[in-house]
Amino acid sequence: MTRQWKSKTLGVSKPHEQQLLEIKEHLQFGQEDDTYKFCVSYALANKLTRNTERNIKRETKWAMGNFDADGDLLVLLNAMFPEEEDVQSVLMTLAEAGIEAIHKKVTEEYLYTIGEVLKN
Amino acid sequence: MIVKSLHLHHFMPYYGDVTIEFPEAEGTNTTIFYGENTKGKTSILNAFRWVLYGEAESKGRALDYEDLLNKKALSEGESELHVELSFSDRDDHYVLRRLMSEKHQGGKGNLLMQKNGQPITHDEAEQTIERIAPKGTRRFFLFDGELLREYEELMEPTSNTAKKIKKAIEDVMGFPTLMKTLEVLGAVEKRFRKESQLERTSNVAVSDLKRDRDDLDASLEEKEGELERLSVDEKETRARLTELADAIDGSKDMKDAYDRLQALKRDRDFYKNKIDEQENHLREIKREVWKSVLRQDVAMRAKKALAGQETRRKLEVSRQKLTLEISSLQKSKQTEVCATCNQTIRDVSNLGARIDEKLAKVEQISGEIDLIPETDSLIDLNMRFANASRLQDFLSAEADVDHTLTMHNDCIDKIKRLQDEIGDFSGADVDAQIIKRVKLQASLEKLVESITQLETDISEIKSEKLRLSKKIDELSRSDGVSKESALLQTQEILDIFERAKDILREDIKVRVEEAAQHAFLEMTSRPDDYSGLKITDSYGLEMIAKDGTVVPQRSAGAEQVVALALIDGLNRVGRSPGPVIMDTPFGRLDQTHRANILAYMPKSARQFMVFVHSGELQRDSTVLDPIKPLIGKEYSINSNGPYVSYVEAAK
Repeated sequence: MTRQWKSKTLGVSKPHEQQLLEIKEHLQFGQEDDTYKFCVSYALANKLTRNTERNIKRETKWAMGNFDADGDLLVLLNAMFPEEEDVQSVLMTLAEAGIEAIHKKVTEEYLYTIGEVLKN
Repeated sequence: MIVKSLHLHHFMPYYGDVTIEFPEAEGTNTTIFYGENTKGKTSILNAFRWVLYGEAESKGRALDYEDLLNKKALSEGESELHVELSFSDRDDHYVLRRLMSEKHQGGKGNLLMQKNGQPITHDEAEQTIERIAPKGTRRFFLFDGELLREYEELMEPTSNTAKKIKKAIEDVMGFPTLMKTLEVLGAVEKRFRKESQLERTSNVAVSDLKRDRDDLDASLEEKEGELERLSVDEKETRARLTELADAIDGSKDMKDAYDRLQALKRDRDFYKNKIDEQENHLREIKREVWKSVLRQDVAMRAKKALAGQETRRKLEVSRQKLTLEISSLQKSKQTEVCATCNQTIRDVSNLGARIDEKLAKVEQISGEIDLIPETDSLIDLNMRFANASRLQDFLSAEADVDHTLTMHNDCIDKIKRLQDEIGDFSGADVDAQIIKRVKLQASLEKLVESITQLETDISEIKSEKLRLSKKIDELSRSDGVSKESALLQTQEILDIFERAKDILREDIKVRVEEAAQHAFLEMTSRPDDYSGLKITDSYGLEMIAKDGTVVPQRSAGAEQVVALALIDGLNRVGRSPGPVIMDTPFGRLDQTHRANILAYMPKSARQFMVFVHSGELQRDSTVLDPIKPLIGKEYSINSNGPYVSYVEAAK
């Protein structure tokens, strides 16, 4: 049975949004949602631990229908986390883990390309 | 000319050999031959004519071989005759011999001549005779008294004899040369008249050719002017090219730097465009980079999922097979007939156990199938991710952008350095010079091509002009004088010679008149009655009385004296001094005249030889007394029969 997004919107905390913007500038992404998805993939690829314990206040940033218009992200998370009921939460926690890790790299190591980010 | 001897051999009445010698000294220069009629006096005169000119005559008739060969010799079988004349002229001694035989009939015999003992050619012999004793003068120094009357006929200018003598007189005075010249000039004039006519015809063609040549001249002048202009242009262009080349070479290093700068700017722009393209591309694939990052992981998961699906399918096939077997066993248990082979089963007790065993197995397989997760969505995801770039490709694209950016920045650095090096040097100026040089070079090539073409044209025009000039020359005169002009000049010359003929004729008349008058006054018996002679246009002489009137009637003697005076005058004017040989000159003269003539002739001529018969002059005549000291030789001419005459020395 295919699980759907629990909420119709996706929220980002202010600090993460700031970091996301910096990452976008450093790595020259066109859109913030593309940057956000890259951060998710980085977290998945590097098996970053999701911080599910934190109580973070997020503010709505995208509508899920626009954010994952083709549903690929939903399929991915369903496939990779078949036991999870709320793949939207998985999405956000993975994104935040990726944002934090990448932001640290690009700002501390002055990285400007995705290749450099993925290499280190 | 001084005659030394005359030798005859079988000539006319002289049979055998007869030799006559003549006195040479001026004081004793007279030879008198005495002989009666028909003895052979005139034959000796003919011997002189024949040996000198190959001609002999009697009473106006030319004598041939049969007349000349002695009849007695002929009757004896002889066929050859000859006459030999020995004479001197100036310091040379000549022997002239003319012989004739049957083979010479109709001709003048064979002429042989020796000069100072050496033979000379026939032509030289004839030229020598013509120089010393011109044939035209023979009538005057080989004088036949029987022909004296002919001279008297000169007073009748219309008579044939008068015309003949007039011609002879003019021959002596050099008229033939003049007349020959006039004849030649007449022929030349005729030829030029004809050619002039042709020239007028060809002048039209020449005029056309000259017009064509003038056109060529104009064209040539135009092209040569153009060639000169182009040559100046070519020289100037080459000079400007050299200047430009120097200027361009002088700024070569700066120009090279300038060119490198331009190339770098082009490279910079190229890299800039490339960066834009690559970044656009990168931006596009960056939208999906999250898929690229996970693509390999998803692919591996999908592979595992596919394996699980295969396992599920196999398990389901096994479960379905077991279900069918269970169904078949249950039917066999109820009917005790084998469902497969339809044979009766004797013991069905073990069928229930077998059915339970298979049911347990089916339950186990179902449990295993349930444990295999649902994987359709993962496989579908893998197919979706397959459309995204592979991560490696993405990274390469990103590296490409980085590399291009580096190249771009490198260009910018180099541009800055070159800009500093060049300063405000304008490569555009050099480029303009280079473009100008290229254009000038092209212009020069066109100029050279035009000059070459012009030179070819000029050469062809000159060649054509030369051809026309040659044609014009051919149609005109090669010496540049037109036929018309030549005709006019020839006519002028002809006119001059015509006038010269009249002048010469008048001059001859004056000179002959003076000489004849002198002789006449010496020979006439009445010198006190006459003042002289006056020559007429036909060379006749009129006697002029003391009162200046013409004597209307002349006696026969007077006529003869006048004729002798004319002959003497002509003889003196017409040739160099030489002998005068007279045959019976005294026919109608009285004793006084005969004495006067005998006294005068030895003084007038270098040698005087006279043939007389007894009716004219006796050996003991007193007429001879005044000239006896002058008589060097006297001969008697006698004969033994009609064909054997001989000459005997009487003194």
